[in-house]
Amino acid sequence: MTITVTRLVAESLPQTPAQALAFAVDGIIIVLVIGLLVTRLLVQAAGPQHARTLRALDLALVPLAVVVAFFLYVRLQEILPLG
Amino acid sequence: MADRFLGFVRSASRPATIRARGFEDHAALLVGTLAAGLLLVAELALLLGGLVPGTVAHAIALLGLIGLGRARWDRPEGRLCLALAVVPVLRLASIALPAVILPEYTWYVMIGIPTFLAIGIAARVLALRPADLGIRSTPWREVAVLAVAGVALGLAGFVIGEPAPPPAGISIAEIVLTSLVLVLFGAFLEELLLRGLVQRVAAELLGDRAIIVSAALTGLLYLASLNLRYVVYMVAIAILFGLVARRTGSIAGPVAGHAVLLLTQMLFWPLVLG
Repeated sequence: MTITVTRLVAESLPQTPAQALAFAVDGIIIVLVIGLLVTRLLVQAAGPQHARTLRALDLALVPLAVVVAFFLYVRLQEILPLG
Repeated sequence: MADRFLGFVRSASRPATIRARGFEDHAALLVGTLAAGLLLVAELALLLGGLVPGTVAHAIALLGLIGLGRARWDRPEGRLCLALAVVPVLRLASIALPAVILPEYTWYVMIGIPTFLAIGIAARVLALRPADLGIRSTPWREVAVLAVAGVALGLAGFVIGEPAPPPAGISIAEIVLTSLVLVLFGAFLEELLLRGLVQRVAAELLGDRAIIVSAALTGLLYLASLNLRYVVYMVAIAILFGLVARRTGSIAGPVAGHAVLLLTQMLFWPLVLG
């Protein structure tokens, strides 16, 4: 299931540091995580009656934050040769 | 042998102990249809459009499923949407995390960690205990039978799926490491998500027909293999594993069968048969 997609993705992976720096997928996921984070902060500020919404948002936000941490680390390794 | 198999199928068709509430109104049916549509469109966008359209579509699917789940929080269709929200998380990780500078087995570890996290959070949000997800003991004979069957299933998977051969000159240490990754982040992760979480939560809505949901989702997720025969094959296996998980209330058997299937399909048969 995961393997089938990664094989599909492998053909389009960034091959050079410059391509890694400009990989659009990363930008989309970062925008999504920032959007989720801002929404979570606003909902949290709105009061404790929105606890269920916070829990639902965490279902997307927490794992995607880990994804962002992983790919930032990987991209850093990929673009270091540029420096 | 045939009688024993028929007996197994009959016993596997016993009514679920989870009381299915069904689609209680038109809104529930609409929510279920929307959830299925979001995942279908997202997967097709990835397959037909490429990485960027696929990422955008899966991000939209994730937000949609979270929104539907929140809107129908206490209803079974809302709970199913929250369980299904793990799928776009898995897909976004699968798109973003592979990198040419890392060995392939590390991709599955990096994809698996946030996915396990998402399953854990979903289980907590849905108030499901590990035993509800099928993490419980089951008679060893059931596990052994499926593990042995996995060898034959792996051979069929190798013939139908035509997996990429292991890299030339792969060392024993790499084979062991890859095997561990396949078992934990392939077989266990997939069964925990599809049979443990999705099928369990779908049973609250659809009862026995929940197996159709997990099998259909398996088919959808294997579309990326771009091999229709392999998709049909994996759907058939998903139905078998779904029946076992439903009958025993445990995912131990399906995990054993799936693990041996993956190990033989990806490593053993390619190394033996070339």
